[in-house]
Amino acid sequence: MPERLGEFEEFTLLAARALGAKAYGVPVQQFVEEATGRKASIGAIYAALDRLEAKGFVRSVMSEATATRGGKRKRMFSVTAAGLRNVAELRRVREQIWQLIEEQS
Amino acid sequence: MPPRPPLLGRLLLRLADLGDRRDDALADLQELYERRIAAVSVRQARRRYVSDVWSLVGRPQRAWTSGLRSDARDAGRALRRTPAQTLSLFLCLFLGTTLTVVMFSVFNTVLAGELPGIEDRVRLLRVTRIQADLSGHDTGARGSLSLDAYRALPTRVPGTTGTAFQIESVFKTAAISGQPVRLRGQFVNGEFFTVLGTRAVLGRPLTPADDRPAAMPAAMIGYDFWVRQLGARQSVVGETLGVGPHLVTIVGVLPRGFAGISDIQIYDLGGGHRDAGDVWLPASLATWGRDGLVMNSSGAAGGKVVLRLAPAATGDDVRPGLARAVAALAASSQAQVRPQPDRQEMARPRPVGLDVEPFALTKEGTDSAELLGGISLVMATPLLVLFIACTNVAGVQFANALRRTPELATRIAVGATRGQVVRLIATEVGIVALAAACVSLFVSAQALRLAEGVIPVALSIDWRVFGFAAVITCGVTIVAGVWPSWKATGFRVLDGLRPGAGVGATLRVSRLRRATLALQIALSAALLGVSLHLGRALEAAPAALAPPVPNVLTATVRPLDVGMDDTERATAWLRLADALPALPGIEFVAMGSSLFAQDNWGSGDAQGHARSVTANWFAALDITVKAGRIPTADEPGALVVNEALARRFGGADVALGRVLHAGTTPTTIVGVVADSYERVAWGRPTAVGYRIVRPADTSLNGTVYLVGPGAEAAKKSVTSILAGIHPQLSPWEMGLVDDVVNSRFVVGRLVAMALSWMSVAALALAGVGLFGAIGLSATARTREFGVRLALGAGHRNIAGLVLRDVSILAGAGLTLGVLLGTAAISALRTALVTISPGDPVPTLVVTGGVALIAGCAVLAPLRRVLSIDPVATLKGDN
Repeated sequence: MPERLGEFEEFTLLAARALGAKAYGVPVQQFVEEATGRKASIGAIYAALDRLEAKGFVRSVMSEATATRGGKRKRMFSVTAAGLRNVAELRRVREQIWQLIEEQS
Repeated sequence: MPPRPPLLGRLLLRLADLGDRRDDALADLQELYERRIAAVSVRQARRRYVSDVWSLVGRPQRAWTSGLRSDARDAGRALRRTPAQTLSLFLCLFLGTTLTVVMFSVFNTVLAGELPGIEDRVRLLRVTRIQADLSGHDTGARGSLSLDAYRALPTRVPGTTGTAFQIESVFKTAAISGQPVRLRGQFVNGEFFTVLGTRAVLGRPLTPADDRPAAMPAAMIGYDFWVRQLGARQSVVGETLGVGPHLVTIVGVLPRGFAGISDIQIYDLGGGHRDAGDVWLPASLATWGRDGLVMNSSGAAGGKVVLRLAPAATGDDVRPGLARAVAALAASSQAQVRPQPDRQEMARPRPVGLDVEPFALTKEGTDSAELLGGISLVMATPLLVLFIACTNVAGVQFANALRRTPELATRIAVGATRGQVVRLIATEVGIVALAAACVSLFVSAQALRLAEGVIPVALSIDWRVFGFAAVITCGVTIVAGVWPSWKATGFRVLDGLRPGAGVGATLRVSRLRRATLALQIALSAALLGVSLHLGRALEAAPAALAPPVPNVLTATVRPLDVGMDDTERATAWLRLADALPALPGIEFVAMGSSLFAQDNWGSGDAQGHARSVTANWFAALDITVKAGRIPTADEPGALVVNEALARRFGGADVALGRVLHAGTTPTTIVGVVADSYERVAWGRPTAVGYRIVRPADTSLNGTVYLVGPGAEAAKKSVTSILAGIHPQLSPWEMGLVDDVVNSRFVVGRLVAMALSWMSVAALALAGVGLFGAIGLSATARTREFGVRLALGAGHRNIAGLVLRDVSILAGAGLTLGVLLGTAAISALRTALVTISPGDPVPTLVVTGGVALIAGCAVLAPLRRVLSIDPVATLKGDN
């Protein structure tokens, strides 16, 4: 049984997966907003990422300082194997459900 | 270059406790902001920026609530480490809050608050008579109404729902335990209690049905009378009571402290509650005499009228109705020209109209501006103390935060966030503020309970005032504590940890604080000076206004009160003239009419009060003749005026020979005498004109003076002589003249004393502030002193620097305070002639007080400076 994820956590996790090596706060927030068409505050994204990290689905590392962003480093996120398994499992469950729905109709 | 993010967002961001994520979160926010500006618009980007920051501020909520207990423990430890500062903070908060709460609670209750037995006081309007000067112009003073004026009012004044009328009376009754008891009573109209909204605590209130001539005589009794004289019997309703000539049935008991529409009286300390009336009777029971005098009462001073405003009506809606009443009254007076051969009044002040004032915040017969001026002075004092307390609190807090710069930097260095540091400081000041508020509440409640013994209304803490004072003091405390700590933790950690960190800021704050302190000392010194001048002026007023007259007994005799007619009164005065001089130790007896007895239109003092006196009146009171002569009783056309009245004509010499109209008889001024204490309002003698008469012509109510060494011992004999003339006749007011005159200044002296104590509290608080400022300055200059000592200066030189510092501050404050005080005293001189700006004693006391607080404030810093070790200081250990 996969660890339970909220809808917003799932979107955030998928965003991090989609962004790959470029996943940090700002792109994740923009990805979620564009993908869902809903506004997401940066605080909500941080909170979701914190929870995902606590559950072991993402991990974060500080990047090297660059000339951009005033020399400030980024906290880069990457999806762990457990995270990948979890989203795959979620996808499988959903597809099963849709298949059932289509068969019945 | 993109525009800066909105200020609100930046401020919120400062509050956000982002922990170790702070840097990248800030960078993320900025990047998002710039992307949005490029993608959408600046406006939307700014709005989203604020909401993003807000979402971050909301995240660390758990961090704020966790660790409160450890904060409280740390704060307690920090407060114990600096007992002097903690005590200063506590004293400032406690004194500022307590004085404000007590004074404003008392004044709010007395002047504008709810009174016992009166509903919705703010919807009541007092009708007053406009007092005119010689030319008929409004003097600004307001007086009470005569019965004529009350009767001229329409049954329902437009804009009102009812009229309440009250006139005081005094009775004797033989119905209580077989002993004659003097009763203070009030005649009231039928709808009086309906208009005021009074409910009886037992039985029922009087109604219009009780005020009909054919109604069974009914009365309500005052609460204290019920308790003291009737043993608080529940069965009292329905019992009968002998009141003057009436046998009345008690229908109800009034609430405790009910004063009707009388002015609130302040009694001697320890006097306890006293109702304005023992017995309240329908006006139909009064025996009305000629010109509206209540023949069985002392109501000649005029009645009191109050209107209840209709919903949504204002005073302006009422005034046209009053103007019509005045016009009707004037027309009626002209139509009834009455010969008044026996009236000795001088040209009476002409009524120029009626006015209305809020029932709250007025005192009948007093110039409203003067009353408000007095109130403002008394009310300003606690505000001054509050101001001093707040500035001191701010000073102590600033000093505290800056002194702790290295400690706060250490906390930051070992991982504490700014939010945690600020929370710690806020907890510290919160503990002190809470303690001060609790103690202040307790002390205020006790003080108000004590004040209830002096002021006859139920006093309680005004929670609005407490809230105001608490918010102000706590707000200042927290802001002044938190802001510098916030600033102090904004430095780079290494800077904060360096020796002498925060000294620059300390000195900057110190300069501002010194200016504030000089102002504090100045204001409290000025207030102390004014209150001392006031107290001394009131102490000296009786002797300064008229010479002391030892061995003179005064007794007021009121034959009108017991219903004696003209012949009986003349006989009574003659019998007194025969009997009193024969008493042992009495050299002679002087007699005169009461000051206001003949005044038909209330107690006007615009023109000068009429008094009929025997020729030896002036000798009895040691009143010297300033010009002219004292006529004999055989010269009815001759008049003597006092200097106060003569001044209205331009002086004694100018007044001599002037003709004044006394009733229908013209009288010529033939003599001018010194002012005496006939009636003294804050030290201003009243203008009086005297007509010399024989004892039998003293006529109405009057006063007798018994002069001689046996005066004081004659009290019992006077009482028995009066009882021999009429069983119900007794002296209304009897005592040695000097004692009676002194008693008129009791309230003023109490006020002056209260002001003095409050100004002492203000000065003490200024001393606390001075202590903090000098201590801070000495601490900040420790390194400088160390260097000076290392270069060869002695400890005495260093002590001299500190003493010079405190002397400059105290001297500047004292000088400014004396100047301010002198200006205030000069302004007060118009109201209190005996106040003397040149009196050196208050100035000396103020100087001594400032020197004392300065001395106390400098002691501890001086000790610290004298113990500085230059080597240790230069090494950075000090």
